[in-house]
Parts: sequence; C-alpha cells; structure tokens
Amino acid sequence: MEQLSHRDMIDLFLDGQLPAETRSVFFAALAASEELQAELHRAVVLHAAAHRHAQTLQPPPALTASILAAAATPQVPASRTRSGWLHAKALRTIALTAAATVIGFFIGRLSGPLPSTTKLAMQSEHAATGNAVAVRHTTTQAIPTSQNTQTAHTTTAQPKSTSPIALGTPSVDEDIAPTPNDALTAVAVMPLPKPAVPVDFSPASPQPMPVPLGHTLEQHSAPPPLPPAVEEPEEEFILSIRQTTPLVLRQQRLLSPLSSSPLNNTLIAAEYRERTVSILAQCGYEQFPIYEVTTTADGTPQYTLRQLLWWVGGGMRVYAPRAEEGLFRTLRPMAGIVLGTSQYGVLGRGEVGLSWEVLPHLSVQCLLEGMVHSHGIGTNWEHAEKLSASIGLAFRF
Amino acid sequence: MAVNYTLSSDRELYHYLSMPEHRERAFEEIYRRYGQRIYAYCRKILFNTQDAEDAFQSTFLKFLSSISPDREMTNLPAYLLTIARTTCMDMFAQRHEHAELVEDFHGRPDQTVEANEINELIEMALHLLPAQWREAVIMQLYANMSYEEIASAFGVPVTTVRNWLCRGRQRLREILQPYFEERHVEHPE
Repeated sequence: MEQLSHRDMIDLFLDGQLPAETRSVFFAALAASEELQAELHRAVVLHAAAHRHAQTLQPPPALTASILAAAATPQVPASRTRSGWLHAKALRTIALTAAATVIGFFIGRLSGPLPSTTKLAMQSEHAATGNAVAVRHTTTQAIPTSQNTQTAHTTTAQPKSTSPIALGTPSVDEDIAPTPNDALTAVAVMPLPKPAVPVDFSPASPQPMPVPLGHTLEQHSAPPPLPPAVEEPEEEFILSIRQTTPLVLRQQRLLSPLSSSPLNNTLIAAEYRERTVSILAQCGYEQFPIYEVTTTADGTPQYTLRQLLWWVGGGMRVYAPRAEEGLFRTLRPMAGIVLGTSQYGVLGRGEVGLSWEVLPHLSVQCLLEGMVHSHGIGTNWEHAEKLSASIGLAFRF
Repeated sequence: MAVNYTLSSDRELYHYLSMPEHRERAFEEIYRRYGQRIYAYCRKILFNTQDAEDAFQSTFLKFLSSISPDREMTNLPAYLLTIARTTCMDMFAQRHEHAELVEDFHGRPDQTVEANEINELIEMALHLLPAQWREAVIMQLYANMSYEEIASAFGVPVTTVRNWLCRGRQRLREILQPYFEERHVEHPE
C-alpha cells in the first residue's frame, strides 16, 4: 500500500476509510499540528456544506410524477422503443389499412371498366311479357346513320333525358331527338361504342332477338344490370370523422410511449372540394406528449406532462384525378397539409393516404399523418412529434 | 403474498421490475432510494437545472427500458450512476458549458446568504478541478456514493478513486482557502 500523507488521512478519516493501523499515527499528527487541525476543520465545513446543499437538491414533484407514470405503462422492450413501427398497435393499423386497400382493389375490379366520359347509363329490366327489354340509353354520341330521326333509338347530345325503347315495339321521343347538325357534331367528336346489348334498330321488322343455344329466353333477355357510371362532380362538400392511432411519439423528455385510448384520438374535418383540390377545416382531440411549463417562485421551471391536446386548424388537400377504370376508379390517393393551434402552442400536420369512394356519397379514408407541435417557453421551444395512422368515414354532399 | 418493498434488497427490487404485478411498486422504491442522489449528481455535473432534469428523467427512463430478467444486478446505485453519467456526458457535449454555468449560480431563496455563498464558491471551485476529480468528488459529496460505487461507475480500481477523491478535495480546499480565511472558518462550532 502506498504511503499516505497526513492530508490524505484527513479525507480518508472523514470517509471512514482510514485503516485501523494508521489511525493512531493520524491522531498523533493531528494533536501535534495546528495546521492539520485547521485543514481538518476546513474539510468538515466543506463536507457539511456540500451535504446540506445536496439535501436541498430534490427532483421537482412533477418530474417525479412523470417518471413514476412511465413505470406504470406497460413495459416496452428497448428495441421496440427505438422502432415504433414494430409496435403491435402500429401493425394492427397497417394491417387494417392494407385490408381496406385489398378490398377496395377487388371492389374496383368487380365494378368493371366503364368509360365515364361517354356518360353511358344503361338499365335493363324485365318487361311484363318476358321477352321485351326496356333500355334507357343516354349518350353523347349519335348513331351515324341517315335514319337517325326515324329509328327507335333515342340519341341526344346532352344527357338530359332518357327514353324507353321496347324491342319489337319501338317508339320515338321526338322532343329529345337531335337535329342532324347535333348528330353530325357528336359523330365528329366521339366514335360509336359497341352496344352492350344487341339491339335491333329497325322499325319495320320487329324480330325477336335470337336466343343462343343453351340459354333460356329469360336468361338472355335479362342481362345483369350495370352499375351506374361514377361521375366526377364539379364541387363537393365533405364531412369526415376519423380515428387515429399513434405509431410513434417523440418528445425530448419522453422516451417511453404513452398509454393510448381509442376515445381520445378523434379528428373531424369539413372540406370543400373542387375537382381535385380542396380546402379544409379540421379539429382534433388527440394524445400528444406536451410538457406544460410553469415557473416556481425561485425561478425553477416545472414541467407537467399533458397527454391530451385539443387543436383546430385549416389547410388543403390534393386528390389524384379519378381514373376511368381499374383500381383507382374508386380509390383515390390524397395528400394534405394543415396548420393549426392547440391550447398550448402551434402545430403543423401533413397527411397522405387513400380515399375509397365506396358509395356515391360515402368514402372511407385511410391516412398516414405526421404532426409537429411547438410551444414556447421563454426563448426556448419545446417540440414534440407524432406519427399516426387514421381511418374514418367521409360523407360527400 | 404481500411484498414489503421497503425491506427488499436492491437485487430483489430489480428482479421485481420484470414482473408486471410488482413493477410499479418496485420502481417507486428504487426511485425513493436513489432518485435524490442521481438528481443531485445531474444538477452538479450539468450546472443547469433544465438540463439536469432532462438528464435525470432520461436516466430513469433508460433504466426502465433496459430492464432484463436475465441480468444479475449486483450494484444498482452504480448501475444507475453509470446511466446518469453517460446521459450527462452526452448532454454536456451538446450544450455550451460556459453559458449555462452562470445560470445556476443564483442560489436558493430558502437558504441563508452565507450558505448560498459557500455553495456557489464550491460550485465554482469544482469547475476548476480536472474532470475526473470533479466527477468523483461530486459523486461522493452530493450523490453520497461509496468508493466502490464510484469505481464501478468509472470502471477503475477503488484505489484510483480514492486517489482522485483525496486530490480533488485537497485542491478544493486550496481554492477555497481565501474564503475560509476571510470568514475565519478555522474552528467551526
């Protein structure tokens, strides 16, 4: 063991680390030297002051509460804390979104290709006689024959009217029959599509339709109804409500995830859309790690964790143009930004996702959203970020 | 069976942390035992209240996320201190040390002027010590860590820590010598 100086002995003595065999040496030196006594006294004063001061250094109650609250949340392995994408909740949300996409895909495929630009709407229904088919045919093109006005086929350049045509008992709706000029103009613009049902346009020979072998008359004369063509409205008012699920929450003071509840992650949006661009007002009640800062009498900041946030904001969205056929006939990619304010500060929000227009006035929205919130504390700013997924319904008027 | 957490050893408490039914209470007890010491260490190392609170919270949250039933916890305070030390070092590297040193020198209104004065002087004197001496002295004086715990946190032999502590405190007294002479604190009551 190395040789200890008397000054070293002072510190070791105060720490209770002075070896027993050295104590007598130390006490003898202490009794003989006033300088050593003064040094010991200074060491004691220093120790006492430091210990007294250490006792005053207590963590603020709010900080203690937030740390203990972190222990109350379910344990998350370190690897999952680093990668929020592996969180089970996130996986569930992604699976739901994927399922909705797949369903949308098949619905879109089953709907079949139907050119919306031709504005073709056909309906077939059984006539009372069983072999007569009433066909309502509204189209922008004309039949390029010289007998346009004489045929049983009703043709108009404007989709303003429909006319029943009974096979074998043709009738002419003179009011809506186009003038030759209209017909010629339309012919120049649009080629004639192949009719979905073979129709005999001849007025003089009401021949019954030939029935293919293996088919009964009823089967042949009642083709399945085609879905109505989806038109792109010029403008729409959209009211939507969505449920969000936090995927990743980041705050410089918060390393563990907050406990989540489906009731406190709701968004409501009102949107006015013109073709592919819309403006929207949105509000939300969401889970978000915000630390409210107050200052105590001695100037020490106190941080209080606020887990919920009310916010309102406005922004815009852009929708992909509606496709004429295929998957994106009813499934429309969309993206948007929103700027807003909460009860604590300001926020920015970006979103990207899909709007599945499942019915003429109803859509299902699936979005991936990023949100950044800031609020000022003196000259400092507290930031928190959140990545979430949402799913909801939109009502279009 | 009811568990008396207050009477449980550190090793038992750490073991309880892996059990969902005991986790919260065990963590509370660990926090009660070592929270103040870790907080005092963060405050003295970082010289800045806000940074210290950030580091303190990060320390316990990292500790929570690092819990493993496979780990045999032999020295819990040293383990916590090691996490706190790493966190403080990271934070210290990110911040402007000098600008924040001044901030914490305003003392506490609930203490006497004399107490505030000596605390501020000790803090300034600590800042003049070599980094390892300063850290060891803070761990001992403010976090109340033993030689073994400090040695474990640093990963050095106990004799090295003893040497740092003796040198550090002697240097501290030398720096504060004028204060003691001025105040005549030669023979305290």
